[in-house]
Amino acid sequence: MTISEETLIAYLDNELSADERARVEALLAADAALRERLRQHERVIDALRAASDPVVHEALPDRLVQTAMRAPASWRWRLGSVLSRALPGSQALPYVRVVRYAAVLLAGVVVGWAAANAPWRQSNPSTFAVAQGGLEQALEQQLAADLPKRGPRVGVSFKAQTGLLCRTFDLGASSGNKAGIACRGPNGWTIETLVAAEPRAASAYETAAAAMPQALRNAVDALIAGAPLTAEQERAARRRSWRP
Amino acid sequence: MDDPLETVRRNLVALLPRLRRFARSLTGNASDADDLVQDALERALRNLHRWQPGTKLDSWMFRLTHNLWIDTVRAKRVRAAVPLDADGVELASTDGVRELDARLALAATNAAMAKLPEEQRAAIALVVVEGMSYRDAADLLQVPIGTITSRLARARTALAAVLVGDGAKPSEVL
Repeated sequence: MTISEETLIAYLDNELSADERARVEALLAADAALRERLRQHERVIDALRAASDPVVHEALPDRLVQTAMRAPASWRWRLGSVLSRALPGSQALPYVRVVRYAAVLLAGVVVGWAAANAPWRQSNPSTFAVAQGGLEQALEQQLAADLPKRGPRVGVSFKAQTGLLCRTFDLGASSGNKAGIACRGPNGWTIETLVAAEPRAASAYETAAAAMPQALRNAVDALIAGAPLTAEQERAARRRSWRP
Repeated sequence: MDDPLETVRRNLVALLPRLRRFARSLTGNASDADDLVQDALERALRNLHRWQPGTKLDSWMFRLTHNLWIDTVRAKRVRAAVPLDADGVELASTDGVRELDARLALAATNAAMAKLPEEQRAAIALVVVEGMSYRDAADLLQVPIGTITSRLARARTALAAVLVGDGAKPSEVL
């Protein structure tokens, strides 16, 4: 009785069922030529491993470690992980839906993530995150003076150098204490920046502006044209649905 | 607070030795292999939203690395690269004869691997070198399991003819 090369190799690779295994072993016990074939395949395995294994003991090249630790990461993933961690069990991201549209609309509005000057947005500039749900509602309706105790809280409103109106926001503790900037484009509020924020102060009197993380201040500074909107300008902008 | 991105980055670094080994099996030389790993890392991080958390990062990275290599091969029609230089590999043995013999065996193995068709080399790299199951290798290469079985058999028969047939058998030379 003979045995295929596939079966012999699968035997070596531990891929056979118990029955097949027993059959191969019975044949091996009875057939010296088959044992020699098996030994040849074992030598191939040994040779391949001997040739391949030394690399895993080499010191890692710095450039690879640097790339793993520093390369621009998918910001959609970061946003998703932040929001889905904050709201376990929810399938869809509650506040943000990721959409694609022409980069041209918002080119130039985009700022770096936190203090990192990574050019990650250039890797895929045609995709943006757009606020939805409670965040969209807050960005549309809330005034800085409202200071809701729960949910997204809007901070400073300002006109960006691109002419678009932008607002800072804070998602609050239930969403992992993230703060960011959203700008009102033709397709809704685009998330420009999202950074870690300090847990919101218990005091309802502290304004969002006062609690703004430094990274967010820097991002605002990079975007803003002139001074932030006053309370009156903010109300006026809301009446115009935040159109530039 | 543990930053999930930081965790992923650390897991990627932990995967680097295996990724480099896999890339070396595919490309046949050290510098192309590290270039490939670097490209794979960059692409992985840029496309992290395509990775389903909870699924295995290593399978995803191996697949990505392999796909990238196939793209490279197709784009540049890279011929089987120069076999890995055995001089660059550190060997445990200090015995001169044995070491020379091991170097020869190594060079022969690398040359034999380089002669294999691309898809057979990938199957060998995943199953024999990386120790993956046929199922995992089939999923990763997106072929039926029977295809893996036959690629492995053809590749190993060819390798056996080259490696076991000539003088590259340390145990028998000494």
